[in-house]
Amino acid sequence: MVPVWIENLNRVMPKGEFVPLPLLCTVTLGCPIRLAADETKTAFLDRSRRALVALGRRGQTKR
Amino acid sequence: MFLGVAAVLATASIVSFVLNRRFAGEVPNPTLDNLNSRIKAWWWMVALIGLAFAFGRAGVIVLFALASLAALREFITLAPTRRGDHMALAVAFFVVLPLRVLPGVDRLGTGCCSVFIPVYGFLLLAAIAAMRQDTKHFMERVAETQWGLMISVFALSHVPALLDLKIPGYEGRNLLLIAFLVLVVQSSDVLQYVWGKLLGKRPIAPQLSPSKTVEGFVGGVASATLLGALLWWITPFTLWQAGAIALLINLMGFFGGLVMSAIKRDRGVKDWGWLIEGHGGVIDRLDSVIFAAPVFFHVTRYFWAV
Repeated sequence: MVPVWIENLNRVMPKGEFVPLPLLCTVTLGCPIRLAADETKTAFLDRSRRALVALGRRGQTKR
Repeated sequence: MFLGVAAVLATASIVSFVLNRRFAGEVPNPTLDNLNSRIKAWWWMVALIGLAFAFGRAGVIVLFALASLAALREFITLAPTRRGDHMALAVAFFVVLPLRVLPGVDRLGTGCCSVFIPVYGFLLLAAIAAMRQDTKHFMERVAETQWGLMISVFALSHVPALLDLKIPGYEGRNLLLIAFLVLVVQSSDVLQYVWGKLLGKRPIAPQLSPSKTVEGFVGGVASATLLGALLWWITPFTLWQAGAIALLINLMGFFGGLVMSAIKRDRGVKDWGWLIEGHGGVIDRLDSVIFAAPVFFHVTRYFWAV
């Protein structure tokens, strides 16, 4: 699974809206994450979530 | 005329090639790198305008419709709107913009439709935003949406609208009015940059833009005005009239650069976007045309068109 952070997504299409706005975004692709042999579902989801948040944070410091 | 532009660009490419050779291997030179990408982007932009002109009226309308869309995207991206503006912005992008830029629906100078954005967009978009009942910074947000449309769509739409002017004795040549406007105003930008780089000393608006100098402004506007006067033969104007109009649109173009710099400075960014390499965004390249086009349109319509 590849984590992808889309910066500005909350303005392009906030929760509950049905028309996306064509605003400028920055897409940050992360390194692929694989399910480890003895990993539980929640542990994997938690790890992918942290990978995603880390990507978002990196994008912010870059700007 | 296109050959002339190509010749100028070729000269610029040769000059930058020589400069590259001379400074090769020394410390990295950001100014030179920027110059290289600017010249490269100019080749693309001239090719694009040439292609649009080859398709005539339809080509110009499509080109400026796309430019308006790109500019509005850049503008709204930097405007601090809130969730409550979502519907108003969707209407701005998907209803107001197409109605303004697409042919046949709404053309300037043909009655009520010319005031579509300044009147109906102005009132109705505010109403749509109000229905969301988010009052925080309401006036600023509504004003920003309207400004985005006025700058990116309304002002810029005066360029293709030049095709609709009916000037006695100038029938079928209106594309050249667009060529005159774009050529004079853009060359003013370039010449201000060149004069500024060559002998710019005193910054003209240090709070807005450190690269704009008094020397660049005077030299650039004066030489681009001279160029405009010398292009009188492609216009319905006489030599002196062409010079006076060139001076007017060059001053408007300079104001456009100042105003759009002020907004960028406030938003804490250097460029509006990254679509055009070396130049920044579409608004960075078109700010002067955006400010010059309505004035050029109205002066030409008032004094020359029937």
